[in-house]
Amino acid sequence: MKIKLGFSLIEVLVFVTILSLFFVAAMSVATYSLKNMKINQHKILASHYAEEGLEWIRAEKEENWDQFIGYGTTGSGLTYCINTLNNSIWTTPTTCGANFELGVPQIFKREVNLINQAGNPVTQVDVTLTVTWIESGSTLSIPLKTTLKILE
Amino acid sequence: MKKKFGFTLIEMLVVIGVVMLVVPSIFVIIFGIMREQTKIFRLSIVRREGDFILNNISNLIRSEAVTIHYDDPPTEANQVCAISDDVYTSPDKRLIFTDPENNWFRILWSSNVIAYYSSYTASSVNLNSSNAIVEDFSIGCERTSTYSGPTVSVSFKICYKTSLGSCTSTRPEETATIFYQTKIKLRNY
Repeated sequence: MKIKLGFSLIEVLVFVTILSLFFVAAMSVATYSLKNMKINQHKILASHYAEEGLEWIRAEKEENWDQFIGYGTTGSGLTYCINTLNNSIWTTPTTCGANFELGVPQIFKREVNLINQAGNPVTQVDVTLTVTWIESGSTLSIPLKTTLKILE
Repeated sequence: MKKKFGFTLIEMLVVIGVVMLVVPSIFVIIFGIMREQTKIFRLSIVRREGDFILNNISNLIRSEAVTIHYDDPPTEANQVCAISDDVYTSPDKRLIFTDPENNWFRILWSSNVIAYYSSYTASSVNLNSSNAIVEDFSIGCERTSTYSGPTVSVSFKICYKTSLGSCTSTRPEETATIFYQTKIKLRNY
């Protein structure tokens, strides 16, 4: 009878399959968590930009209510691109479109929608602020909603 | 027939080749994860400290401040933003506020730290820890009319202190900087 040394082909195939399955699983977990961390990092920044924007809108409201209600309308309201926070954005209501020009690196865009609630004079404005960015092909966004009133 | 033990040269070459392909990709992923972890850790600390400073300053000024002064102790002579159309930005990076109980408090930036001093407790508290550096601090006030309260504007940049002791580093994942700005309208004026 011949003495067999080493492994048979079947044994080697089984080992290799098990090992490769394990490696593929480990790698996919690692790359997934890496991708997730990148998303989390951008989420921290995006929520900061959203709060910063809302804080600025609130300051605009504090400064002059009569002027502030002129920026919105009733119904579906008006949307402004507020990538930069200065008064010149109020001249024309416009969406940011594909201008992701906020942050370092410039991957975010920030828009605000102002809806005046019915009433004369207007006493409440619904504010929806959205920070949007594109993460490896998919679009992510952080919306913040609040209602500003003439008397706080 | 001669019995062979061990591996042949070809087998060794194949094994080494496979190992050389696999190990670098594993290291790339591991280092990527470590880099991201550092960045997220620093960013979240900076965010927490920045939010803390902003919330504290806003709440204090909004609910406690009555008059605004550019020097301490506050007197009539060093009051700012008392009349309409008055705009003031502090060159000394500080403002002093009186409160309804006739005590006063001061928000002051000096050498990377925002400090809050209260005349009631006669002690100074740093609002950011030594892990973070505050830069480009600006504080000022403006008043549009005598009938509405003055507005205090605050802006600053906060970053994580790197091994160089500053905001910058040779490695991009070690830096984390966030800009904050707000305007606060006084309720008691």
